[in-house]
Amino acid sequence: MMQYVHFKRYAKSVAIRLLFTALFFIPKAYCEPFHVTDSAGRRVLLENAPERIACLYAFTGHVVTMLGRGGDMVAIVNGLKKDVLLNRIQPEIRNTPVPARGGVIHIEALLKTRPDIVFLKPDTATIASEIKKLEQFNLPYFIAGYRSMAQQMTIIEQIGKAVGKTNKAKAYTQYYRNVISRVKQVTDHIGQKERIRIYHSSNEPTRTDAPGTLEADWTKAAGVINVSVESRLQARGGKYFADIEQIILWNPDVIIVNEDGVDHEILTDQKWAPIKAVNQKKVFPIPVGISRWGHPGGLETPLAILWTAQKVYPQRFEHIDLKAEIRNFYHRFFNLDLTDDMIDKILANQNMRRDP
Amino acid sequence: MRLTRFYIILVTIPALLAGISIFFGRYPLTIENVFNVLFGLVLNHNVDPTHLGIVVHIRLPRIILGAMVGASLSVSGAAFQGMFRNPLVSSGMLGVSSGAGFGAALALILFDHFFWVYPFSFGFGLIAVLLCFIIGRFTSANQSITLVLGGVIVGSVFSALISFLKYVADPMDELPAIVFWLMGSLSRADYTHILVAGIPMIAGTIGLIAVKWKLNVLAMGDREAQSLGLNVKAYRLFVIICATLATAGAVCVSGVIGWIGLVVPHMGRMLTGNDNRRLIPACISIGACFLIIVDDISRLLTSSEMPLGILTSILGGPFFIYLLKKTKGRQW
Repeated sequence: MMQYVHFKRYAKSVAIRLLFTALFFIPKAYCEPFHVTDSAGRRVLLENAPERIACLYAFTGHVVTMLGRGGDMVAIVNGLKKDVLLNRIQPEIRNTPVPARGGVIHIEALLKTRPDIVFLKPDTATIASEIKKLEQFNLPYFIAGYRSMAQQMTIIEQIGKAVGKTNKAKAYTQYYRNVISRVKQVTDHIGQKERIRIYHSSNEPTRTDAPGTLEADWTKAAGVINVSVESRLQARGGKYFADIEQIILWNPDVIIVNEDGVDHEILTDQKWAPIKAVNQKKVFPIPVGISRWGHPGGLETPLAILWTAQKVYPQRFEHIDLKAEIRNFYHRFFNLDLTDDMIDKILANQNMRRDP
Repeated sequence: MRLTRFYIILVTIPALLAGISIFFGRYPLTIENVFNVLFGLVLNHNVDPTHLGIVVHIRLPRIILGAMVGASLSVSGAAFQGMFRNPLVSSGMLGVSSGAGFGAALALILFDHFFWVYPFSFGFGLIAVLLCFIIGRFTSANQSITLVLGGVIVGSVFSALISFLKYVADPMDELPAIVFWLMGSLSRADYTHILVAGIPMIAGTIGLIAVKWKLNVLAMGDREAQSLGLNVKAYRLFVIICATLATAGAVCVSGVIGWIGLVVPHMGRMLTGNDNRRLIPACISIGACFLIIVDDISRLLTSSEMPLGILTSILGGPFFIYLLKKTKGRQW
């Protein structure tokens, strides 16, 4: 009898131990250390799928949110706080700490947020002292740079792998590729001479796209000739500016701007008057959703391609219902159901960025 | 007679340079194209709208504004150097440039519309000088030195405030705009700028021309000037107001273009001597020429625009050394 009680007690304790082991150790056993490759070609080793994510580059904040991990962002940059749609998806980002400004990391503030991974802008990663700050405290960091659509897709997939959302990231890049090929099918039939020549203004009227950038790549995919990408432009702090006489010389058919109000400025400024696009009032603001469509740090590149193609070749892209496309996009990737009013605001590039 | 020739030279050279500059730019316009536009305007002929736009709305306003800004900055610098009897003083001495820079940065952050940059930079330029003046009144002894010191302090406080605004600015939207503005450029020049900013620039410059003789007396030092019967305080205030109006008007449309207000007066001094009756008109002319040339080069060098601040230093430095060698600073 005594022995039976003893055995029972022993069995109970073993069962409890096993249960604890199962609860605490088995899930970890499933998540073995893994590698992701960043844009600098570094293989970043992650012990576990990160729980706390620091997005020190606005683009990565958008990607992480799209991948459904927006709630786990513990540190962000100020630009993200201004995005109206992002605020709707993750209202708590209003209070999320901002431990980096102008590419400079405030390491104590960052450490306080206890991140498991830090996503960085390539500009920040080129500063040795900034990297040293992270390395000193063994913070795993991932550089998210890209200069083409293919590289942007790779980076999104790698971020997906890093935050444990590989499938969702792949679904997005599949959509991306699908849009490129849908547009290409149509634009392939447009002869070089019939192609519309566009000038793409980025924030300031004379800031534009340089060769070997994402913008050069996506505008090409939209089947247009981007006038500025053939030229050698002077870079100032990683941004490229053109001279107004040079723009007149290019004489684009269409001008696309991405800053609210710049379209009006271009249309009313006498300096721009000689340009064909201004003459024919073909100056369009590109939509702004979660981010500025088609911007170097924008996430909605596929939508930018689709919008541009339809804008400049309306007859050839009659079959595309852009509003439905937009509705599906944000529903599918951001779990956001947009009202017609909201879609109109996105399309009109109005009040999509606000002061925090 | 000699004086007449002196004034003819001062007017002719900038006018010639301005005339030549109309032919420079990225867009290939032949001499004939430009003349067609100019004569077409006068004789009411039909001209190519593109050529018209480039000549009348791009090149001409830039040249006019460049000349006005260059002249205003250098004449203010010359007046300050004389009055404070200090060769290291420039047009931005009393904190005008830093104050204006802060005003512009603030407007770029607060408002969506670029329009607000002008009144804000002009207003803060004036506020900075007013602060200097208040600091200058704290002591009764040697007001000139207290003013210069006040200028250094107010200037550095506003510079720090600019850095602070750059720090809090959104790196995507506002920061590039602030940096671009601070580097100085004439690329936004149009006739509205010339009209609006021209009023303080021209008023200030005319004011300084009017007291050019009194500047010689002020340059002797407060006590000497007073013993000669000059109301030192009143004239000093007048010079400060004129120089501030001219500089603030220039800075609010062109951004901070360094160097001109410091070095052009010295170039003028090497060429004409220390007498403000000649130096002031000479500085107006040299300043106008200098900025016209610098802006021509800025437009021609690359298919984008180079900030003027970079070029004024790169070009001005060697030219200054050349002048120094040539004249051996005799007239200084």
